[in-house]
Amino acid sequence: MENKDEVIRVGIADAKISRSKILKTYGLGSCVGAAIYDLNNELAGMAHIMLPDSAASREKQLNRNKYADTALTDLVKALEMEGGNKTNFKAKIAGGSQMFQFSNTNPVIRIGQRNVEAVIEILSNLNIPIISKDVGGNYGRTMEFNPVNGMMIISTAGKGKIQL
Amino acid sequence: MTDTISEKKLDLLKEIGNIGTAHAATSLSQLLNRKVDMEVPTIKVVDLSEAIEVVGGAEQLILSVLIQITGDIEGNMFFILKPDQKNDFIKEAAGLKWTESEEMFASVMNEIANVLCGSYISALSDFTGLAMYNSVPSLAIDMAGSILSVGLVEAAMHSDQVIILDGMLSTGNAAGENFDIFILLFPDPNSFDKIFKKLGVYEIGE
Repeated sequence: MENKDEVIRVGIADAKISRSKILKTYGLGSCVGAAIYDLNNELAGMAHIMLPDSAASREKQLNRNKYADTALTDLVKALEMEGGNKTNFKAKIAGGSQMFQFSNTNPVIRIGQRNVEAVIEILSNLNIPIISKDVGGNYGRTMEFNPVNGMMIISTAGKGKIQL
Repeated sequence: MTDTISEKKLDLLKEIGNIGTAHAATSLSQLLNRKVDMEVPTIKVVDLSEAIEVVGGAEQLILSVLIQITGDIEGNMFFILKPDQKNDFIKEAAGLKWTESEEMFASVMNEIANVLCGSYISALSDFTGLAMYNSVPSLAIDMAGSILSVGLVEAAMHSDQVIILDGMLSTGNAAGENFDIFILLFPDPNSFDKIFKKLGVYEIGE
């Protein structure tokens, strides 16, 4: 049983910071969920990223939480503002599936893989090590992250729950 | 764009959804040889987070066939059924039992969705005079959020708001339950201006 008050829900194209409370995002398909955390401070942030690169955006007003580059950079800043120490920062990521199998080369269909590649590259540029990841495949995932013990739990429709 | 769309334009999109869904209903009725009820289709202008909740929440398990539309109008069309009705549905629609292989199931399900969505799409293409081509169908049974977000990728590059044409068909089955089938159309944002222009809907100042 989970106490609803103790879970901070992260929507699609959204990001949240949490001290101690569990962060959770539902139904990741081609999107990537990324948790960046500082265990010493029991502090973590989670983003539900839809697209790899804000440079490709045609939005009038950019939603920075939607894109891998801007979402992760902002998450790091927000964690530092909350007293996190960047040298402690680590990351866990999940998602980036290809939900539908099409033989065509429509780049939208490969968006999951492109999201994963972008998140890995940006975290590497930020010098944040990825401690574990559960990415790819052809199924959806719900991701939760506990800032107190650094554990990520992935639930799927067909394969049950795993802890990473 | 979506934040400034007028009532007049929304009414036109609703009419388009009406025509398409009605044709899909006729196809389904022929397939099942039974009366099919159609809910008046709605047009939803919603945030991304609401868009993945339109069929009962991001974690809700759904059976979905996706057909991608290209041409003058582009977008994604989802045929959606409750997963626990899949055996009954396929038995009535195609006379098949679930005991046959998964591959066979997917292939038949894809074909049924193709017929329904195909009538929707060709009716829409006829009405607007705009070219629309449908991709081969593809089946997935999974969480609604993970499935519907595939249809939001293109729209999300333009805005945090999306427009969804939401149609629902309902018909009783042999066991006395209802099959509820959703047909959702997520048009890509670039398509709207083409539709409005072709059908002569302009705002003052445009």
